[in-house]
Amino acid sequence: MTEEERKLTIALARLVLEQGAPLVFGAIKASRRETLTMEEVEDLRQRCPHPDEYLGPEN
Amino acid sequence: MKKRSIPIALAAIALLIQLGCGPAHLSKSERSILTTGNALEIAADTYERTMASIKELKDADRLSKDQVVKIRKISKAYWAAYHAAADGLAAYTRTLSAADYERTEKAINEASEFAGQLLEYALPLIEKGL
Repeated sequence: MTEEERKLTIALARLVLEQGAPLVFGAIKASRRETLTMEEVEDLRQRCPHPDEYLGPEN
Repeated sequence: MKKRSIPIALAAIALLIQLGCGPAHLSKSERSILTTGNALEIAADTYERTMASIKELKDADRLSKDQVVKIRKISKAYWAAYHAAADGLAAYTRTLSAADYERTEKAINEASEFAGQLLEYALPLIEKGL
């Protein structure tokens, strides 16, 4: 991870924390696209790897 | 690591300013799919970035065992809620049923709560580790 990516991580995390996670995640109503296709919904299901992939298997 | 995080962060800020200004020409069900999809996408970006930073800290032996245990506990709860929401959204996109909508809404609310807990705990560690 580059220094720029670290800073972006912190900036995004701060935004979520300062605004409140439920507000950010739950109240976003404008759109970057007009529709969400089934393929895009399926893509979302492939996101967020299990924590073990970052932390290693639990002992 | 995806390079679209700047637009996403900027979009999040812009979207917060525009709260309540959803595209009026979409049906209620289309807006529901869109809103939940955007929320999940931003939640996924936040989680993946945060966990990638945590992995770097762990690999560099800069996290204690207790800290790793705590992060694992919160992130597993988030992970389960996120995937319940994503599965629910996929089902709702197909069925448009009220039951799938309610299940998805409940899961995204849980995911957002656990994401907040994860960030509250992990952000100071990430900043300290820079």
